[in-house]
Amino acid sequence: MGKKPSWRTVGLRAFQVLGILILVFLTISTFIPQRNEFPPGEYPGEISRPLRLLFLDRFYDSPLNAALWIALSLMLIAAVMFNGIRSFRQKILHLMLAAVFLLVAADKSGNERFFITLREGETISLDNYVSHRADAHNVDLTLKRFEIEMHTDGRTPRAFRSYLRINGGRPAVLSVNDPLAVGRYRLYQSAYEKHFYFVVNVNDTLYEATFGDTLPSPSGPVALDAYDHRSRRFRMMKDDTAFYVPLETPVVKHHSEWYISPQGEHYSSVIEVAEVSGLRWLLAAGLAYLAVMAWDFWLSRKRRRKK
Amino acid sequence: MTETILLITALVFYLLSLILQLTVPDRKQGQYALFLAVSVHLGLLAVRSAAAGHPPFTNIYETFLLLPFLTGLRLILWPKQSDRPLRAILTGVAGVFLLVALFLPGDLKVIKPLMPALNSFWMYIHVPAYFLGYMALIVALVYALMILFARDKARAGERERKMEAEIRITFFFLNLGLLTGAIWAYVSWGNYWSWDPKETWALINILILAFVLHLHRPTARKKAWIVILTAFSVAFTYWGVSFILSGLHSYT
Repeated sequence: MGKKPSWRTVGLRAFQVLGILILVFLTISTFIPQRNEFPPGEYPGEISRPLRLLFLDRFYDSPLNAALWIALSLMLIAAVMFNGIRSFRQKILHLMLAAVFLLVAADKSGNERFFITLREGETISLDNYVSHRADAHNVDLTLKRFEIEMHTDGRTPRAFRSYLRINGGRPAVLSVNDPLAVGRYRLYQSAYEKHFYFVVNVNDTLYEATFGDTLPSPSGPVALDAYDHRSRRFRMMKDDTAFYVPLETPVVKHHSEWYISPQGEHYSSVIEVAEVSGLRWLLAAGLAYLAVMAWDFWLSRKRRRKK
Repeated sequence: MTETILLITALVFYLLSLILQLTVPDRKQGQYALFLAVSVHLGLLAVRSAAAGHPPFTNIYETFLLLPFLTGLRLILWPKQSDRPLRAILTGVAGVFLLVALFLPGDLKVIKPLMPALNSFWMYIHVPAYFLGYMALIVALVYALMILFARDKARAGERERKMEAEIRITFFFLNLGLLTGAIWAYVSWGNYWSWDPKETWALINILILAFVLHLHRPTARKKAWIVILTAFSVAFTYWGVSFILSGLHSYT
């Protein structure tokens, strides 16, 4: 009769199987476009049913991914508690690792993170974006000015920063790699958007507009939709019907005279806002994990040298 | 032009060192030639850094210069750590990397201005951490191949011990790279982990290598195969992710 495997062996095998599952899912998921990378309804193509059932088109936010990592953490804790791991240093190491995984899971599910886009002069209230109102801090942000510095090639940004006013009073500068703490939130200078602005003359009334803006006209609102570089004309939309206005050429349409000329570029600041509670514990656990690993490797090496 | 001349010169010295190590292994000429190769290589990196205005690890071409330099430097600073066959193989590996760098397409060698997110002191910790890990992985890979395919099995035990030491160094630096990358991402983008393809593959590398430390009845051959698999995974992370998969880390 074969020898019955010990609980230690069973635990190790289970850990190996779980590890392989995580590896396989992670590897496959990197080759499949994830739904959260696309706006709703714009996911390219159709994905097969088995891949959908395994959440592979939305793996990272799926309960399957969370379950695998939580299972791994519990397995690490169990290995320590039931003496599957015998060395004291290794016990600390694996507990630190379990702590890191569980803290990440808690942070990813609990803390909020969102993007805001601010035009110069615009004010927004962060609380309008926060889903749990109990954490509202009445934080109003105004973008006073957006500044961008280019490298000598004139095409690549070297630095960009937002000059903000917080709650109408406190001025602050937000730049890349230099986040701002505002109450429970942290602001990150994530990106920027460039908008081309035009002066639209509608029956001798001037409007400053960019693509997507709606302009008043006697026959109803008209949207400045797009510009075609080849034909050098703007596409305007009124009631889902398009008409065209050539650049710097007057056109009479829908009982109005239209004249569009370029005005210049404006920038919008794209700011990521994140809640940060608990992250210092995560960082501490990560650093402790590395320190214990280095200590364990160094002591093992010392012991091998003595032998 | 200066950069290319230095690259070719370093390559020639690496090749000369390799030939000397193979033909007259008992003499020190091979080591002297290696010293010259690494010195010229250091000059190459200095010239590149001066031209770019930043250290040479922001694109694939620069990393093809840095990785063999670290390998050569290790052979110079700790010559007794590696036996003769390993020294010769690593010298050859360094030469191959430089040869590839020489023939990379021109658009991959162009100095591009640094994006604002890369303008952080974390770049000087995160990237070197990974390269130190990759260097140790190359050494572990050579030992793994020796364990699996070398005819001289007498030294298998010693090679296994040395491979294990390199695995631990690799594992530590890959973890350090991952953690510092997460901190940097948190400071720059407000999100320490976004399942970006590069981040995910960096995690995959660590998970694969962790199997070496969690084998049931570990043998030298099992560990060697896992090291080889890790090397393939790292190679995909290094090149495949940049060219095949897109994401925040697509710095070519």
